[in-house]
Amino acid sequence: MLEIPDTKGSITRALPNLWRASELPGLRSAGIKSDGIETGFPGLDDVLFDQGWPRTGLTELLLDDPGIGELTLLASALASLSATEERLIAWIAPPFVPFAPALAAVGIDVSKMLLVYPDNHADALWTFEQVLKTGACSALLGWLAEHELKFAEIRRLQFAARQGRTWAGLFRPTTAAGNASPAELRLRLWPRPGGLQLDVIKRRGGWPLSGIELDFDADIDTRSCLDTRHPADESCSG
Amino acid sequence: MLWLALYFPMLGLEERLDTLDGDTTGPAVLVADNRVVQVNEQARRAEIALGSTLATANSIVPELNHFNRDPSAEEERLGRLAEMAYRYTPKVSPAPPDALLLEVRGSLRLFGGLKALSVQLADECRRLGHEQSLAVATTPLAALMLARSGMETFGDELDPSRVGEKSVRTALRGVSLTHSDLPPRDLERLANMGITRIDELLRLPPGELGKRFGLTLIDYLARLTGRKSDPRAFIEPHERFQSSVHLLEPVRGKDALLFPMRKLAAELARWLARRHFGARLLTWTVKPLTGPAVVLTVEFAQPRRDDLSFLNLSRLKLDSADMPGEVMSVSLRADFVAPFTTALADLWGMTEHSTATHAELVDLLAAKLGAEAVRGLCSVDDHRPEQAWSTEHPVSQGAGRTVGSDLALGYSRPMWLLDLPKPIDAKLYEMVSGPERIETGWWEREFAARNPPEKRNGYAVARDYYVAYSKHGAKCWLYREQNERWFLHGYFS
Repeated sequence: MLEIPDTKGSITRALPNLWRASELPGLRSAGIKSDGIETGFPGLDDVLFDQGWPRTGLTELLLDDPGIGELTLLASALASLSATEERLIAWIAPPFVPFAPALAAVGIDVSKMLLVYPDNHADALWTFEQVLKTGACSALLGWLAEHELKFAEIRRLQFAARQGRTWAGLFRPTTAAGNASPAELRLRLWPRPGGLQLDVIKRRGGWPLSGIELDFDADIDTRSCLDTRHPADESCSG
Repeated sequence: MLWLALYFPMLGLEERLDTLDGDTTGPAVLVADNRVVQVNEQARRAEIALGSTLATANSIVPELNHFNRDPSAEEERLGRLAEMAYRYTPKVSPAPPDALLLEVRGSLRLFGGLKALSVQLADECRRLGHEQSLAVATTPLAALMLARSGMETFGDELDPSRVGEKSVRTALRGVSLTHSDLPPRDLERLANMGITRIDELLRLPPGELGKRFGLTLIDYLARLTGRKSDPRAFIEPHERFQSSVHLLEPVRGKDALLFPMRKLAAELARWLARRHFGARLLTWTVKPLTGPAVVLTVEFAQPRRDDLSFLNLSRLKLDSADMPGEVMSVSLRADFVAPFTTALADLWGMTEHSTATHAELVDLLAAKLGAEAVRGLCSVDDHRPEQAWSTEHPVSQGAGRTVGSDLALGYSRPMWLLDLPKPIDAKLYEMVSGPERIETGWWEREFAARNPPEKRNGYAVARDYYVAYSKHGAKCWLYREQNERWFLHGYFS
């Protein structure tokens, strides 16, 4: 699934034990402790420096159309955080309503959700920063007004995120991919039937990667389109 | 019974000075009917006599501060001092206009004796900015009289076990009659007879005194010496905090408001600490010179009692509020007072952040953004998607964790739900599965009909739900109503 660019095949062949900087597992075996929050996708964990979502610093998630699978990508980490930590999970200006029964169904404790709807960009930035500074949340998912967002502001958020122990996810459109960002980790999300395709634009301890494919448990797809249960069958349950 | 009288000789002036910013070091006097009735230390040093006219006083010290007497404010202040004294004994009785009577027999042991108790009381009064003199006697009137005379009565001669008329007489020996509660007319007549001290008066035969001065004097002397009982009404402490600062000069700007606010917040913190209570809701009322008052409410997720957090959160609220140009008074009310429980800290620091920090964050956000902008989430057991979730006050305990029975039946639900379903063209979507019929809520049909059309959504529903892919590749949740119209209701994401 993941391809590490093999540039100098001859060297590898001559020195099979040579450690190359692009090999993250080598780095880990060198004694660097991984501290990430498992993403629930082993293929993704492998390419991330912390073997999961970073607990400090910003994680940028770039996508154009909401609903392509961004929440399923985060769901496993949110579920484990909400189960193991007392702290809240903050949603700052989410574009839609996080649907409580569906979150609960994937194991997220909805009583720990904190939804914040600031009126304007300045308030949203303030909220973002306060959540990170107080450390009262184990994770934060934020949507900011892209046209008002300045480089200096992202740097400030990244700085605040490095201080606390909060996994800070910032959602931005893919057009932002071309601009430099101080974020710790930047991922671009593409829709893919039954899953997601990811490009790693920026990561610690490694080069950018593209074309990581994630498969979601496609349980709904298994249900036939021609499910012709009569409404009367359901009336007894509903 | 052992009575302790607290006499505040400068109550009126101190109350007025309290409303000024910062420290006033200049000479100041309190004026009633154009006569000086109270002077502060500086004015006394400048030799402004009590009873002189304001014009005379001004001619002695041109930069003199003068205040008019406000009896209602003094009464309120005395009431608050009585609440302060309630900490020392449950039997506190105000003796207007400027004294308190405390029955302290039951408190001596707890506070380590009369001397220690009176030192603590005096310290507390001084901290609140009040000069006081204090005296103890076995009858309330005698204690009051001694306090006014400024003769401290602690010491070996006051042995609480020696209760009786004799000890009162001994204690009052040499006290001038001007410190008694006798009317000025009687004082003058007695002075004309050559009687100026209380012991001289007490030595006279009561029968003859009664004939000349009437029963009131006899009654007073009987109560003073303890021959007649003198029951007092004790205060009941308030269970709701309300206090205000009236500014002598209108202040402009939000920064200037912080001074009176700080004062009130500190007062509230003391009030709460005394009762071991915390406040859930603060209401600030800012009254301008003209026009309607501005009301700010600050709500806390959990009861609090430290003045710093009161002030910080109120300040955020203040920043976002429109303030009148000139403010004349600020008042603070605390509702929902509840027993205060401190969060139990983990000994080993395993949980770095307790719920107290959650509450603090929620309070902080709500103070700045408004309580409506900060919500929690819970799921409700209902088939109708719109009714299957609700927002709630965050950090409430035992939030709903019911998993909708739809999910239990194996139906999948989207993680993103659109607040208002969006009309769409079904041809642009590729159907994956469905339909799932949701038809319920008919019992609310009448209720829904009463609402305007845009609010009717989600009550009585009869919909066929489908899972479909949009052309962007997002997995969507669509439904078709019975009238064949299609709507987008969520993303599986």
